[in-house]
Amino acid sequence: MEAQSKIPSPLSPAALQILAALATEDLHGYGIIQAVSAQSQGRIRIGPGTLYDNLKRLMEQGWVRDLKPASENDKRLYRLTAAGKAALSCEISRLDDLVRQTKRCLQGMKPRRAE
Amino acid sequence: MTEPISRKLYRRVLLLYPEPFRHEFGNEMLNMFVECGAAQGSWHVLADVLISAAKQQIHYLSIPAPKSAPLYSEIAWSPNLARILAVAVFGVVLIANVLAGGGKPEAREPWTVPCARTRSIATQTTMQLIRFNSENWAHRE
Repeated sequence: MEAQSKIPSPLSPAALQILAALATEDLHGYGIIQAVSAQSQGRIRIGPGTLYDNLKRLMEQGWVRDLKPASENDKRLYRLTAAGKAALSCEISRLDDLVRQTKRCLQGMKPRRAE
Repeated sequence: MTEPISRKLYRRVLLLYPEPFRHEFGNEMLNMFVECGAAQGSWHVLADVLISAAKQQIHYLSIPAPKSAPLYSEIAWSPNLARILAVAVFGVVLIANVLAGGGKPEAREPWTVPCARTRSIATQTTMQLIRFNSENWAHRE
């Protein structure tokens, strides 16, 4: 399945976290949950339902692909594709712009005088 | 060792997913329950899966049914449909005949001339369809 060029933005928080988790290495289902929890310092915990909902959608979009296990005992691994990396960097730069712009606005904002 | 009630429930909830989804991820989700339940709490995992199953059902229901084959291929493959079509055309011809004052050539007005021509074409088409239908049946038998 080849990637779709259209990138729906913004990504959902769960999808963004999953893509970010897969950016470092190939992971199995529970590995993704652990990585998401670790990268958010335990603030975001996704359940199996949310994980596989998102994985299915990301696989349909061609952003993630599964690697078939070599043996029955092995777990199926998930890998970020080139299109997935592109989508992730696009989303990260969008968020980066948003953060920079908001910081600038907050710095320029004058405190209101109490009436 | 007896299975905890939450795991039994989890197993049941997984059955609520659409079949293709269950086929793809069902085993992985089932194997993940113990690890996830220990880390996040069994009831939290159950609620998450229940919401996800509902979402997937809605998603699968929203997918439109596949389009049927075009009419010409139906005619080619289904003698029954050809027969129905033949009867329909025959009906149209019959109605056209009645409207044009069928069987009374002297009652015809000039405006009925094109109608009569259409009628003759329709009759020929009907005959061809009936012939095609009977040949098709003879070939099948």
